[in-house]
Amino acid sequence: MTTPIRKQLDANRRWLKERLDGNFDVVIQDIEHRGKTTAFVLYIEGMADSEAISDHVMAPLMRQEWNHISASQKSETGDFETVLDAVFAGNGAVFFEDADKAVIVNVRGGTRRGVEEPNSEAVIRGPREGFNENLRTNTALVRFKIKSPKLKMESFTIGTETRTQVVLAYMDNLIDPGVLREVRERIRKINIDGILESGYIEESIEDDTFSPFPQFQYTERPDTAAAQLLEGRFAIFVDGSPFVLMAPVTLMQLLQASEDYYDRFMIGSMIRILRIVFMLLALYLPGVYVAIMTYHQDMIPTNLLLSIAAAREAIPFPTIVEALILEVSFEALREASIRLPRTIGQAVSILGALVVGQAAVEAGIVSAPMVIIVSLTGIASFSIPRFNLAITMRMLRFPMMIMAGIFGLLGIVVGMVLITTHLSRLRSFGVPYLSGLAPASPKDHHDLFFRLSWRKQTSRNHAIAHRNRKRMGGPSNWGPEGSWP
Amino acid sequence: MKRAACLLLVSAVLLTGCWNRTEVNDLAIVQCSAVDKDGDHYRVSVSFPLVSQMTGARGGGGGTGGKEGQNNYVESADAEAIRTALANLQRKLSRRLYFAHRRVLLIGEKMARHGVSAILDNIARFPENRISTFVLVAEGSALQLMQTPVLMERIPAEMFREILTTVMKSPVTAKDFIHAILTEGIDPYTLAFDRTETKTGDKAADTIAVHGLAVFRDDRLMGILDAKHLNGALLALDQLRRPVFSVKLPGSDHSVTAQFLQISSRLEPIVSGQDVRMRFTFSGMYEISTNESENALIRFEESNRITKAIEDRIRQEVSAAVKEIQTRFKADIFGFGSALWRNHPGVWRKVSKQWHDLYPQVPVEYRFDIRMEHVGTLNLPVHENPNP
Repeated sequence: MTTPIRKQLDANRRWLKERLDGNFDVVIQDIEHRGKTTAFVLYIEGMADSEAISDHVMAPLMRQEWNHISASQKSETGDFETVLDAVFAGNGAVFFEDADKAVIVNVRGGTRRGVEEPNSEAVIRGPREGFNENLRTNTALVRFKIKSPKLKMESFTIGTETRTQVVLAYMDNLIDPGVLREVRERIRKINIDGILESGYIEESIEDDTFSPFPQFQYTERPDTAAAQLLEGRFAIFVDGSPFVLMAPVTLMQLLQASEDYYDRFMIGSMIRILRIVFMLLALYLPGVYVAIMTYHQDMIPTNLLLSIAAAREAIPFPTIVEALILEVSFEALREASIRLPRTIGQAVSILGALVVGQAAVEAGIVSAPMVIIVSLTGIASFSIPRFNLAITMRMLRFPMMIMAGIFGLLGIVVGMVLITTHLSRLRSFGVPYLSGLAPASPKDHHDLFFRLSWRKQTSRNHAIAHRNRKRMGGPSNWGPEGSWP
Repeated sequence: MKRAACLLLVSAVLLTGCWNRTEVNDLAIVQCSAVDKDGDHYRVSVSFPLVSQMTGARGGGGGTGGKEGQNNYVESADAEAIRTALANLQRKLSRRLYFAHRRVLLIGEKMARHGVSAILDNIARFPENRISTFVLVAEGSALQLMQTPVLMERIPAEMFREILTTVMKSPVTAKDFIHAILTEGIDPYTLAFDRTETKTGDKAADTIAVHGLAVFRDDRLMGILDAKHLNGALLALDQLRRPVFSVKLPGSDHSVTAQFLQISSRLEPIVSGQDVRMRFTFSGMYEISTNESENALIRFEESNRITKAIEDRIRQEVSAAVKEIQTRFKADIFGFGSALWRNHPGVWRKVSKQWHDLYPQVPVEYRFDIRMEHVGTLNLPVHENPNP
């Protein structure tokens, strides 16, 4: 339903005043010529660039030079709804006497955070720029990386109240058309009053809402986003969020960090293996410790058992209770130090880790081996590069511990089977979550557990880019190997 | 329906859980146990560390604190069967006896002479027991041997274990023992320990030491081979680890000491017509650790002379030990019978019935494949002037 703009300037102004009443930041600036109002400009204070308005819109209008409105983008429209959408996105609109059209000029401005180093994904080697809250900046940062017309960016407006612009980006020649159709459909079906973070979109369009495992990867880094686009994945930009969503995702992909690809490949491979080991530790270590200490003492080397027994001698709690107390306090400590201002966060970690930890061991409330296990688990979970996967592992270790406390290693095995069953059933936009492992694809092993040299990475991930797998042509790279395939 | 199934599953988890949960605080982690024969009763003794007294214990837990050397607890009980003795033992202890970490099983001499199958049956039948436990024989009372205070190790059982692994290549475990009893044509053996006195200055203390080789026939101890024959017997059993021989060269008063880097023995039966002989082949290499003679040893003929002398020494030691075991104990611990069985099953079938009568007369011969690896960092002895 649209309302047409009328020829009378007064009528238009009245209509707008009615709708926009009670908004101090909406500006309607009249342009008078010889005592007569000939036009007015509508914009929102703070969102539009006031300098651009006065220099490039108001000044020509004052001089009655209608055609000299100089903005990078101008368009005409005949209905009020389009005008309001544009104005609330930061544009200015000019209404003229005797014209049933308004001119929308791009004078978007307003202050937003600049391009800074991403906080959540620090690297030693690699680009330092990160996405910010401005959609245009974010899309441009990716365009800077991929200067190709094949990179498509489709725009959607979602949120009945927030009218948030959401951009779906993909490589036209790489993406699976089925996936593309599906994601467009799912985005269109979102019916919500507001989108304030990409998390809203993520939960609205993911395959399995009741899975603890993340089905999207998110990043603050343009290089990561570009790399995933080049793998044939799509990316979703949400205005107002520095986090860009990417899918389809696989478990192994969430264990990869951008630096794996920037450092020498042997180092990248070694660190990747380390991460896999530590992911398993983060999930199973406390459970296995509890199971072995309460059911299978015969599995510990004798001297170690005697040391642990000596340390546990004065502990009043069963191992499982001890483990739960420490793990819960660790989670609380972590949560507290994230939410607090950075300066106080330091104090919390000193208080929590050093004072409470040390005192609890010395008072004989918890045993030193348990503290070691909990700390090691914490470190292990921090070594997972994707926060959303790390927090999943941290959450799942509690049921594992409880299973271990009740059934011992049998419980661990049952938990393991349940998790594996779930993972092999889980899909992200039709791509199996364990792709590479199950279904096993030997052709993807150049970038799974190991990251082979870029010279050998001639094909893309088979599960995702099956339309166009070839990353490299013939032996175009210089090298003494010469004859590599 | 689905809800009912869920409820059933959840209650199955919550109501039945923790049924065999044991905290380490409630365990007596037995390190060493001893079995003696006391008249017609079995006396079973266990030794376990008092973990609260061990270093590493922190926090409260009693104000007294143990004296050094008192971090071990020994308790014993007797009954007409081993299991009932253990049950009697458990009545005196606040912690559950836990045998999964037992390292050493001591068998008293009287018990060993009576037959050890009752003990081994108990070990193999009860899954908490490890059949990799080392088995050894105590001369006299096993309980007394176990009570010998040990200053060198934190846990007394460790002392037995470490001595066993230094002396033998692979110490005899309960599994080896059972295997030897069950296999045709081979008898079990193990080391025998006793309590001796060690004296430094005017302070004397008791300690434990290897006393000889306990030789069994089936599950009964036949006797303990004297310590002077121990090296020879262990050499033939391929169990001696890095032996040292000090030999005098023919026509010389000075001795040369050889340290073996490795030595192994192989047994093969030789059948010619009706005759059965056994042949031990020793192969190994040694280095010179001391040279008291005036010769440079690096010369070929010199090293050959030393090797010859060492071979003679080995032949002498081994044949004395083998003779003793063949004729005095009449126990086939070397596995002559089983070697014959493996290589000449037809012959074995004919002789197996009267093997125990034939065994003492089986002739044994020796072959050697021994060489000098190096003479150390010296060529000439230090007392010889290289530039005369």
